[in-house]
Amino acid sequence: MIITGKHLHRRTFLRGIGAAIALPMLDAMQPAFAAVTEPPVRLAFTYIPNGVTMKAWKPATTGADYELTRILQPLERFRNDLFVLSGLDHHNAESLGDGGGDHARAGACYLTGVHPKKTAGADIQSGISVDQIAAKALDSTTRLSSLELGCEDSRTVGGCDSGYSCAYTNSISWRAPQTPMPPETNPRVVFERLFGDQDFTLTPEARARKAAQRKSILDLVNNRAQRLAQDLGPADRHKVDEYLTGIRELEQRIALAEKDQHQFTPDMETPAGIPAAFSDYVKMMYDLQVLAFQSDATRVSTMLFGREASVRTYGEIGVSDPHHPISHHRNMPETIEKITKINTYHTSLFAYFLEKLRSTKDGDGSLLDHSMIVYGGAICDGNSHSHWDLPVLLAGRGDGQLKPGRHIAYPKGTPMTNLYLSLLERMNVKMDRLGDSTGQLEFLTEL
Amino acid sequence: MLDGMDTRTALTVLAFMSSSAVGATVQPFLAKNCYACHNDQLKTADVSLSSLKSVSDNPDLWEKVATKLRDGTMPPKAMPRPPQAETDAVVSWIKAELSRAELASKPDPGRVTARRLNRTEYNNTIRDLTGIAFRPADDFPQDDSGYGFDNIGDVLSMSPVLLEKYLKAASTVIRAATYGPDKLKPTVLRSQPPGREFPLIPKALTDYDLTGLSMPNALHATMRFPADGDYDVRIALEGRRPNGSEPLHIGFWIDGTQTATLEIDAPSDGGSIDLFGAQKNIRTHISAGDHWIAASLLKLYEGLPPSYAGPNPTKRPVPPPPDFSRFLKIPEGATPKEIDDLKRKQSERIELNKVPANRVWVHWLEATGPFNVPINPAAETRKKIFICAESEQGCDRKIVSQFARKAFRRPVSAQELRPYLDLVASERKSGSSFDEAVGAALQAVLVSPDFLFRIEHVEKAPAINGGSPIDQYSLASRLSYFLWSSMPDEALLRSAEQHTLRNPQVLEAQVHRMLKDKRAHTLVENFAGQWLELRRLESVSPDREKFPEFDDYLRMSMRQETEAFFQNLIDNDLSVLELLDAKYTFLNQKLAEFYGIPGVQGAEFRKVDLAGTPRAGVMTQASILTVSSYATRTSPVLRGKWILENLLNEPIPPPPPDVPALDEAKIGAAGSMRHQMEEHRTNPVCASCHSKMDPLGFGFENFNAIGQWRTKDGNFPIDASGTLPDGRVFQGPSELETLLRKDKSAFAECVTDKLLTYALGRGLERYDKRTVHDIAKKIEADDYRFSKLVIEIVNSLPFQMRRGEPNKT
Repeated sequence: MIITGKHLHRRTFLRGIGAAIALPMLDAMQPAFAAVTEPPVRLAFTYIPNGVTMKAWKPATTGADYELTRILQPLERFRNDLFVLSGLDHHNAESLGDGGGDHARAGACYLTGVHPKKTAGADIQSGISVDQIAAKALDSTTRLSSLELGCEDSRTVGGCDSGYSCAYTNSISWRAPQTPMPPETNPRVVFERLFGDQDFTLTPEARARKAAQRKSILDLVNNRAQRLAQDLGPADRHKVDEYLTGIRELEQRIALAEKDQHQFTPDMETPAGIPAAFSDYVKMMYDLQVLAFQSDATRVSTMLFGREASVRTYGEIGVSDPHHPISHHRNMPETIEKITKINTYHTSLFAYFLEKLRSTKDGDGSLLDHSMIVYGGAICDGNSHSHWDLPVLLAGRGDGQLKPGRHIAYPKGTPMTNLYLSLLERMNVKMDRLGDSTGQLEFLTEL
Repeated sequence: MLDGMDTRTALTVLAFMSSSAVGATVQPFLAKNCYACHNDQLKTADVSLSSLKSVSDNPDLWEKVATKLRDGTMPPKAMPRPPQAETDAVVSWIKAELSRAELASKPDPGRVTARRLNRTEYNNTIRDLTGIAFRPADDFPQDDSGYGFDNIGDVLSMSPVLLEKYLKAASTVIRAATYGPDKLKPTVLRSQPPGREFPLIPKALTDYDLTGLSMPNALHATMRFPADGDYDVRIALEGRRPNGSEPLHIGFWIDGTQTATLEIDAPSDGGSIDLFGAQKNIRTHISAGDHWIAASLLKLYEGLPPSYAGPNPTKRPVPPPPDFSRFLKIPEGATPKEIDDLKRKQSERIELNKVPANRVWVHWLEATGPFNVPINPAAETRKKIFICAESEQGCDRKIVSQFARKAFRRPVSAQELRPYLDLVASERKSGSSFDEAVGAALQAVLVSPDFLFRIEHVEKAPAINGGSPIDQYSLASRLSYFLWSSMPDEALLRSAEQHTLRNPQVLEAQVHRMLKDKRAHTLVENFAGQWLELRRLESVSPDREKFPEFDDYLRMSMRQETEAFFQNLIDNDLSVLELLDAKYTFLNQKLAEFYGIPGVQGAEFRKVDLAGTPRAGVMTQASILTVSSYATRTSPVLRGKWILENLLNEPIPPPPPDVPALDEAKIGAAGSMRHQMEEHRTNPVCASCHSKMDPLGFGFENFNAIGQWRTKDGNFPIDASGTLPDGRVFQGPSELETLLRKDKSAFAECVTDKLLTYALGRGLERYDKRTVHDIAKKIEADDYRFSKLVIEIVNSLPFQMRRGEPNKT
């Protein structure tokens, strides 16, 4: 058997099972003669709204020995796993004659590089986002083509920012110029999409016992229903037959699941809903992304810490003012301090994600080795709504295609979309243009 | 049947009735007026009357003939009309024959298919069985409806998905009953209504809803709280206030009672105070279940700068307005007077665009919790189920048999119990504790078809009239699921055990007891809610531009009005005719103001006299008027259809395909709705149905699409007159209501039909018509009182008996 670029599909012998069960990579599935396995490259984006305090973000020097700034301090253990990229712009998020609405433009432009149409009505128009381009190329390779997550509720109807539709701030992912991909904000729904309805809190022995008990119960009621059906008239019997069919199918599903020895067990219990504390919420959403990558349910994900113009308060770090108003800091030191606290809090949560990715085995390395994770936003300074010299972090090694551990400052006017072209290239998706791109981004692989 | 006819007609009828064979009596009439189209060759509308023999051969067809003749829809308007006396006589003859055929037909109790518990019934049954109030069935897939109700045996299906959910629910329920509910992790419930637009009101109002509850700035939501406990409620605002305004006061209500006030402030951004995102939270105790949560601005027009001329202006320093005169372009050589003029015009412009006094509203509300849940060691629920200690001999048998008896709603034989006890034994052998092992058997009970389905048995007695009486346990279940949507209680089960339930006095006493029990509220929620289509109120979305005053509070209030009305009918055992024309209703302040009825203050519902208003009965309640309209306009067709189907039991067939849509833009502009629809009724085919529906709907045109009174439809005055197909005329809703009330028996039969369907859990067939007719006649003597209707239904043939089974070989 010749293994080409695609190794044996891990889903090959799971077809036909209704339950959402997946396998991690099994040794038996690795190519017989190749020494190096080819785990797939994963792509993830985390979006932060309302800009950052650039002074506390951008390191003073470039290269590998850059000094970690205050906001980047929580990422110290990962400095060799990530790039700090400066000087990238989103020119198309500027007003360009359209007047107010920078938050809407930022959100819509971030992954598309396109200047969105100014409208609060149904005739929205943006572009196709980089994550969806990657997802389309992977269509039918993974069960879910992509995952869109969010940690702030979407606003449903009407205008959200100076004449721009709420659709522009609700999602950063766009499948088509008129089709935003709304993020899922309830972790329970995400979990059930990925893993169905099972109970993973018990030990394997407890689960086995519970499964045996369930089987006994089903046997009991199955026998009872069969005896009952014999005594009933045709109409009633039809109802009991429906019942018996349901029992039978349920028993089959359960039996198949038990036969599968290498069952993928997510190491988290089913979320009940949105956790009360923001950090728990974000961590839970990150856990779900790691599990999704680990079980290869998908290879592309995006997540919003908050929508552009988010008004979340961060009482847990001593900032009880809503985020958006204080991002208009008017150069007042106390307000700038509050914003910086929020930015630092956010990067500490990002560090959690990197930690999980790094400690999750994936083939011959870790998930982080095989991923490309972008962290940032399309607004630099929240007060002036600037869209140039954006805060951008790129973490992961992309299966050897990235050589992180440096701060790279790009020349003025370099489009952020060039980064996207380079990321797509590393997922084997060749694009000529994306939004306002001018070519690939250099220096990501060379030292 | 000969009442109300003049002598000449009566004699004609008598002549017709001298023989029941069609050939001698009615045939001349049919030959003259019907055979031209409805013969075996032409078969217009697929109907041929020329070869019909007696009525009992094809009662359905004859019934149609009678209905169309009576309504005047046949012969069609284009054909010559026979004298009314002849038509009346033929109709009476047909009706008499139909009745005779039905009376002569064998009494048939019909047969209900085994019904699985629907979602409501499942939740209620679990609650009554275990004492646990949580609602596992809220996660189950939607139930299918038939004949207007979601408890119809034939229609309710069982899928593998549902079975899996039953299994899971059984496990959760038994675990909670044995060990107490799972400790819930706090989660966030959120309500964020779609964006609002407020009219610009630059000056403070002095006369407005001071509580804020009825204001458009308020947020109303029904939230489901998973458990008793403390919740962190966070309220966020949006909008702007003029510079210098005092902090805003936000009121927080639970179930209509204000429980807290919060103060929210925000800094100015130079031009005004921006409250977007300004938020505050409070911690409060909330009990489990659905609650109406509301937050609104109190004293909205207070605390403003003095220039707004409102009550209690702000005591904070108001910064001077920015001087925009430097932006003023003063032309060369302008005189001082001209400059002053320009400056004045500019300040006037700025004044107009100043932040209006009312421009803040509640943006979203979150409730996070539960915290500090009182950890019940489940003593109460455990005691109910674990009625003995492990050490006691045969305790497992005791527990399982008691539970099964209640769950299966009948005695359980030792033989039937055997597999459950075997399960307990085998679980114990594999190492489970007593509680776990017994728990497994109890879970099996909750997944057993004997629990999930209501399977009925008949008394062991020879069949009479093709049917046998259902056994007393089945009767007890029918009673409890009819009146309580839940399992029979101990009193009912004991009465069945002692074989006293079927005793008429006992039965009547039980009905009265059950109607007084608060569990009978399910009749309001489930019967009235579906019969009157109130459930649809949850999903209607009236156009925000045309009907800006429609908000969630109004929606909630509308539903509560009709529910309170129906509950009152049950509580005071009133006549069902009240539904047609009661000159009172139940209102809160919001709804009273909406109706234009003065003098009602506060959020509680109370009885309000409707004398002097054009409203009466349910037909003019906003809930009904809204569910029978479209999002942007009224629909006389929908309203007429609603009345015909739900009050007069005359369902209308669906429209033929290829009917072009009404030109919406023209309504109110080029012609009133009525005028537009007249044009669509010149076609006699359309007219055959529309001549029934439209006049009824037009009679209510004075009520707009959300039930408010109006006298104009756009630019055109409303013409609420009409002619019923039988020729009776009316002017406006009051006269129409009077005409409909004259059809007392038609309405009574309709209510009976609906309630009987709901009670039986099957659609009614032709052989049930006499039951319906008999019941309607019987309750007339008792003024059509509700309890009498229920008792007659309970005593009726289809409720008490069941048709025998066809041979199984």
